[in-house]
Amino acid sequence: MAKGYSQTYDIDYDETFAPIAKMSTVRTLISLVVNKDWKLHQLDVKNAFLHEELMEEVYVAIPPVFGTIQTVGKVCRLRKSLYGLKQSPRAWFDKLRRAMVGMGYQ
Amino acid sequence: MFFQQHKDHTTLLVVYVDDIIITGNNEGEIAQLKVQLGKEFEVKDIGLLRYFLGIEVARGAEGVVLSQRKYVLDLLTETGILGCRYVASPIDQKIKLTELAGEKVDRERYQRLVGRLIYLTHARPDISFAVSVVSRYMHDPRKDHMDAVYYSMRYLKGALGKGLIFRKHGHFNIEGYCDSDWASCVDDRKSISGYWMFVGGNLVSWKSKKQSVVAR
Repeated sequence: MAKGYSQTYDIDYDETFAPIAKMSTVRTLISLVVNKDWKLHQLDVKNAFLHEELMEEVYVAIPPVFGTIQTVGKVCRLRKSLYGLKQSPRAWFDKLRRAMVGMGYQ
Repeated sequence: MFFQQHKDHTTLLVVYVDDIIITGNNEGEIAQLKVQLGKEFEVKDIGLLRYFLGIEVARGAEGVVLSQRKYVLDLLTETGILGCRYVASPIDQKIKLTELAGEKVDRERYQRLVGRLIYLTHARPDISFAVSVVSRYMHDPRKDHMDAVYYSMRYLKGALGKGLIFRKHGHFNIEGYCDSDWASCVDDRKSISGYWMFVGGNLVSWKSKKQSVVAR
C-alpha cells in the first residue's frame, strides 16, 4: 500500500477520475435481464490495481523490511500501479477500457 | 458500462471497481468475452451472479431478488440488536425529530451507524425515508436521533431479508411516481419529496429527500 496522501496533483498524478457503475444502472440492467430471460455472469478481477504501467514518475521509500546499508539514501521508482496511489483506479479502468474497445465494445 | 451488438447478438458489461457483471442474449459471446478478459487480466470466473457489493442476488421462479440479509445480520450482531424485540415500521410515527433533541451522543459512532444504514438502501427502499431523516443530524447527533437509528435497526430485525424483486413484465416502459408531504419538518417547515422510477415494471431508482426551499 503506497502513501497516496503524500502525492501532489499535477506533479505525481494528473487524472484520478475512474467511472464506476451507479447502483441504479445495475438495477436497470437486472430489470432488462429478467424481462429478456438473460443470465447474469460475474467475473472477479484479482489485484485490479496492480496491472497497469504507470504514466507518471512515482518514487516510494524503500519498505523498512528491505532496508540494508546499501539502500540508505535511496528510493524506488514505481513501474506499475500500486494500491493506495491516487491514479490506481484510473489506470485500471483505462486498461479495461482499452481491452474492451480492442474487442469491439463501446 | 460497455456493450457490443453484432448481428443479433447483444453483450453488456458493467464494471464496479474490480467486480464485473456480464450479460447478453448469446452465451457463446459471453464465454468468449470471459476468455479474452482472462488473457488481459487475472480474473476469476464466478459463474452466475450471486453476490455483488454485499448484495445477494437470488434467482427464483418469480424472478430475481436482491437482498442484503447478511449485511443486516452483521450490523445487528455488531450492535447487539439481534436479541431485541422487533418493531413493525422503520420509523416511529409518533415522534417528530428535531435538532438539539436530548444529550449529545458519540458523533463518530452515530455517523458510522447511519453510514451503514445508507449502504442498506441499495436494495431496500423501505428504509429510505427513515435513513434520510436520521442523516439530517449527522453534524450534531443527540439522544433522540440515536434512538431513531436503533428503532430502524429493530425494524430491520423483523424484516431481515426484505429486498427488491425483479419480475418479468414483458415491456420496457419507464414509469415514475412522486409525492410530497405537507411541510413536515419541524425545524424549518420544509416538505419532504419522494420519487420512484420503474423500468420494465421493476423499481430501479428512488429517493426520499427534503426540499431545498420552503413551499408556499
